[in-house]
Amino acid sequence: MADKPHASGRVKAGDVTQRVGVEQLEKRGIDVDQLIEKLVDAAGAEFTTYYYYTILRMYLAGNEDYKEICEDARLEDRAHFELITPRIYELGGTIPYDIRTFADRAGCPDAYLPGSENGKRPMKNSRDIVTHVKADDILEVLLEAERCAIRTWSEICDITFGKDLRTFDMASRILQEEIEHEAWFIELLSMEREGVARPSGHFRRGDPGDAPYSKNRGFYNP
Amino acid sequence: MELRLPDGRRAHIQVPEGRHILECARDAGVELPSLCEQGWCCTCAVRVLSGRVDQSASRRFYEADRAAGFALICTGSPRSELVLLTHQLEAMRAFRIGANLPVPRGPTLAQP
Repeated sequence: MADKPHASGRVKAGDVTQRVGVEQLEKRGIDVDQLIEKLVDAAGAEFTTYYYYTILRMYLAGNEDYKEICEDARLEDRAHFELITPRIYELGGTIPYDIRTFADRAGCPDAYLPGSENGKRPMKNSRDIVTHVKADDILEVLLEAERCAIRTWSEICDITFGKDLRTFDMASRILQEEIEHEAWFIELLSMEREGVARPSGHFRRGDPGDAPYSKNRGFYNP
Repeated sequence: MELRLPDGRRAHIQVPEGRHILECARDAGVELPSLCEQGWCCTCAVRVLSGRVDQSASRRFYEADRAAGFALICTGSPRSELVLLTHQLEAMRAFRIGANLPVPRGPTLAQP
């Protein structure tokens, strides 16, 4: 114990059952319990998206440029899960102990492979793969997944703006990458399905899944 | 069909064949909550006061939801004349939790 104890306050000196980092959010009007629930839903969506994008990119065979871009989005969604999950614990929360519970409460739908009957297609064995999957159908799944993510992180930004700067900063970084992902998939789907150029305005990432915002690396800005 | 909002307003909208209720409400100037817009998250939940809604386009909608009087208008189309009470996320979430059915747990800003 220090010779001169910390001054008195709502959180007493040495009290490890309270978090000033939470107290200050509540003081500013954040419902921390509700925020944790929202973050768990969002983390669940990033995690399930990472899983489903792993499948989707495999079926972009023959469209190697699409595959690379899907891979960037996949790895960046994983980076989003990695970025936001520690914040859930900092706030005093936890992700579910059962991964099925986590996936079930995800805020966005499962990004199923087209032709997989919403994931329910019977399989004789693990080599019984779906065939004849069209690239534009996959791109549409990817696009709508990104749009759900944009709405989710926009809400979290709104909830935390001016009150919870740390969560806001994380959500804002994630949101920026989700907006880029949407632009990529609009560009690709538009050309693939309609033959119409709708440029995203972006060039390729430096490395696969670079996550220039959510991994806090410098981004391309010549 | 008729939409009843929590503030007492009532809106009458047309939903042509093949379209969903939420998009037609928005076209008519009625702004309602939504998030995933794929019939999954329940943000757009309504109570069906009368009529029947086709939820075949929804990603996750259970027969128990229908039996309890809920619908998801982002991916729902009328199958009859309808009267719907909007902004029912909290009620539908409570139902799903009570029925041990999956549902996201976070709040949405769009609720009154």
